[in-house]
Amino acid sequence: MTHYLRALAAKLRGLFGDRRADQELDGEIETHLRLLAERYIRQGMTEAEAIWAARRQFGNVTLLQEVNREMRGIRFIETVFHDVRYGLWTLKRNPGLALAAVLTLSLGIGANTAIFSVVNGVLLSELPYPQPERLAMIWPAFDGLASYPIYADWRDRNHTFQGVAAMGTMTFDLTGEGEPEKIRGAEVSINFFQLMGVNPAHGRGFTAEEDQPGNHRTVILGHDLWQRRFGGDPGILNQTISLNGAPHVVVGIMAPGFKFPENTDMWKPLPKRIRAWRGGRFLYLVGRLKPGVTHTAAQADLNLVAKQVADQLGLNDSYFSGSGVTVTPLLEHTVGSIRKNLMILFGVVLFVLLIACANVANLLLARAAVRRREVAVRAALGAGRGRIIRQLLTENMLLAALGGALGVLLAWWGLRLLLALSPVDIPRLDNIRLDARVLWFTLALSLITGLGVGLAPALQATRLELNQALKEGWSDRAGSRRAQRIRGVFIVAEVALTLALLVGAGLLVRSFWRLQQINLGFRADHLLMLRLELPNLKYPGWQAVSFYSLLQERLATLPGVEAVSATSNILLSEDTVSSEFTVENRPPIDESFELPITSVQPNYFQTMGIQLLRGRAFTAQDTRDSPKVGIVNETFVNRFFPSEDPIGKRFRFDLYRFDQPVLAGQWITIVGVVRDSRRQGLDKPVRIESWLPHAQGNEQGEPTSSMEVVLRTTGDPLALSHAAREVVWSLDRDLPIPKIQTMEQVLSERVAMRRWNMLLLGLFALVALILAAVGIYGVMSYVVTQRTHEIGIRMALGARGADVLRMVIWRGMSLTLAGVTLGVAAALALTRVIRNLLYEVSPTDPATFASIALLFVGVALIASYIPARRATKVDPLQALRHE
Amino acid sequence: MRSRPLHGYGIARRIEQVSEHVLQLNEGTVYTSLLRLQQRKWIASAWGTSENNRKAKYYSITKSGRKQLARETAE
Repeated sequence: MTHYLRALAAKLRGLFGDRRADQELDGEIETHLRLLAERYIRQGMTEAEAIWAARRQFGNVTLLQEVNREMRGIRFIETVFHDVRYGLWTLKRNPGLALAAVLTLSLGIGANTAIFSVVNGVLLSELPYPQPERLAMIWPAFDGLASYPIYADWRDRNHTFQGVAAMGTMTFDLTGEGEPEKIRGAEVSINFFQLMGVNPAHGRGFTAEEDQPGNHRTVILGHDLWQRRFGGDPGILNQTISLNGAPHVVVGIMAPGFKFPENTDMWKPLPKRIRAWRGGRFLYLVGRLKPGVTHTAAQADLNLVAKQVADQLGLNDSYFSGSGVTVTPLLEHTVGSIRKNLMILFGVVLFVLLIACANVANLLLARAAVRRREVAVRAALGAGRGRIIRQLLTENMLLAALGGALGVLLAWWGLRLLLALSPVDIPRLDNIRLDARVLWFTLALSLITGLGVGLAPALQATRLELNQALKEGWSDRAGSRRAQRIRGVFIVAEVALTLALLVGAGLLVRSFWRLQQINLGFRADHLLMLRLELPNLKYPGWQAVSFYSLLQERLATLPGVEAVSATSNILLSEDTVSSEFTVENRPPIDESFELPITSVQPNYFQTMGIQLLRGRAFTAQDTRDSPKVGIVNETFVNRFFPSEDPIGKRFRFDLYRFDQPVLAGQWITIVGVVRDSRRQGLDKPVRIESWLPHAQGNEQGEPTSSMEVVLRTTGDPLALSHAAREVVWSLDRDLPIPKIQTMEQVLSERVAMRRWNMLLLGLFALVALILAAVGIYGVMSYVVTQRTHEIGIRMALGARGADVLRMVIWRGMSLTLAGVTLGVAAALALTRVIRNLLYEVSPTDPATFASIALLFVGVALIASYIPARRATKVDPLQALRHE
Repeated sequence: MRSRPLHGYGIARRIEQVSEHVLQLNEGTVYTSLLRLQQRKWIASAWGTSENNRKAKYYSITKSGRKQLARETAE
């Protein structure tokens, strides 16, 4: 061992004493040569002969100097400097090639950097809490929510959590100065902040004080809300604000960035009244694991606790015990839904990089062939093979490094575009940036890329028969078989990868196109929607109905408003109220089959542009006291009255009330049938639907207080939003309007994720296509240049232009067809990954596969036609004289 | 090498002698080996004057070199 250390020490010294050692060795060599020559002279040679013989006996002087220098110092560093200098010089000498290679690599590396910064920001980086890996979401069976007693049992009896906190999300009406506003808030157990490991930036967190009965009228504000609503004034601390009409004292303000759970803007202590309500399951649970405890262990622990509680209290329904618990890491809960999507994109950009690498490797291979003579000369002068490979690799690393630097620029710009286009439902968007980790990734990627694209050409260039290479000169004919084969393999691989990408993008484009072709069943243009949620305390009982009637009347008088109505179910949303039901004189319906219930104001179908097929629409005469009526859609009629007139038929809802047997609702008479519409979402199949007059109450016979008011306008709907809001506030100046948007905005939001996926995949596929086309073109051009001589002979012997054309194109097309075949096979295997990003398109859709393959063959044809055309222009005389 | 200091040429001749006059090409590689041995401190070098009054670098075995040699010949 020690002798290695000694050698290393000697090398370190060698770093400094280099020049003297060089001179010493030179001296020794000189002496040695002279002594050898003298010996040969003594043996009878002439002096010239003797010197020559001595040199032969001694061997390659330069190589010896190189090797010894290498051994002496950590010459490596010096060599690298030298190689980089030389590399820059060669790049400058061939700027076209360098530019092409750097641009190509920068596209690949840039795309990877951009997507990796998304992956890093969303999936990889830690949540901004202390020891975030110990935080876990706890999901009781059934719907994942817990009641307070379930929470208390688990908090007190588990052995695996340091603490468990409960959170109930709800909205609050913030009134007082300024416009009334709907705020997303959470009622939390008092240990919440301490458990998360965050403290308010101003003021205090919740204390045991707040756990006393009647002391829950305190609130902690989120940073954004504090800035927006209170101008960032710390004076708001200990002041009173009005939430849901009741005064609350502001006790704390959170630091920026803390929005847990789910974009929460304010936090309140959990009220005491829910403590004993075992059935009231509306609390999310978050826990902090004890150090070293796994999520699986915690899950087993809680299931045991749930079972013990169930046994002890004699609960046989998991609804009350919550048994069947799942524990998931908090990060997984936050980003789990987007992971697959991002990993697909990451895979896609890796493909793009591979394609870019294949292209650049081909460029370098072609150049390596041209540089055979240079390499041969250097080898003859005594450069070892390893030394030459390193030199060539350094050049390629340089290309990759430049490509990486440009790639970072591209990524910086691309990332802004990516974020500008990104749908709102990507979690942790604000966490995406080009940080140190991303840059390290890019550096590593660039180095690997440089090695990847450079190795094959470097090995190729140095695998040579010295004599032959020197004699042969510039042309590469004999030794090129192998190089050509490698180039062919690269092209085939590149074509295959590109085809797979194109097919994926094609499938997404087709899905998106299908979505755009969907018949919505209503007119989406010129619709403005206002969401209103009346506080029950202020609008008890049927006052909600009179409020909405009055609002409808007032809004209808606004200039530019064609029609006004309101609906209880948010449009294009699966958040739907539905219930089990019975159709008169029809067999009982399967339990899981529910009928959605939508309460609407008169004029609804006309406002929405939904066609009435039979019977009548609701009118102002459908009131609380008139017979109960309903309207159903085509699908409902097809299901239950395929061959009968549905008008006059009756159905009713089966009502469940807590702790009571099933009640039958009142019979509802069908008075109208409307055309099917995509009420539950653009890409969701149409299901059975029912509508009830708002004035007659919902399925329970109770009025609905939260409605979406819809206005059909003559002009731009957004232009009316201000006037519409003023009308609402003229009726109730404390009523917040949580959402005001046009139907077209909603539609665009609903397809935003798909559009994002399609745009990105499409963009990357396009880049891949261009790279592949350039790659084929490059190789074919090279082939033509290399074979100029041969083509000249053929033409001199009578081959026609068409023959030459066919010959060259066939070479390009045979590679392309091989690649297309492989690519189709790869795509068949890979498109399954994007199955759930597709809409009504099979992942193996033959039309898409066929058209992409055709498109590709067409592009390849053009890419090889241009060089082939040039080949036919070869003048036989000149070609033969060439060389 | 065991006996007295030699310069590179001398070592090459000695090797030639030991390998019974088999013509050795590339004898310059001797210097690479010498450098390696020197780096491991198994031999030392000093400048001296040769038989015909030329300045030359003489290599001689060191103490640790002897030990290593003993170890290797023992194996």
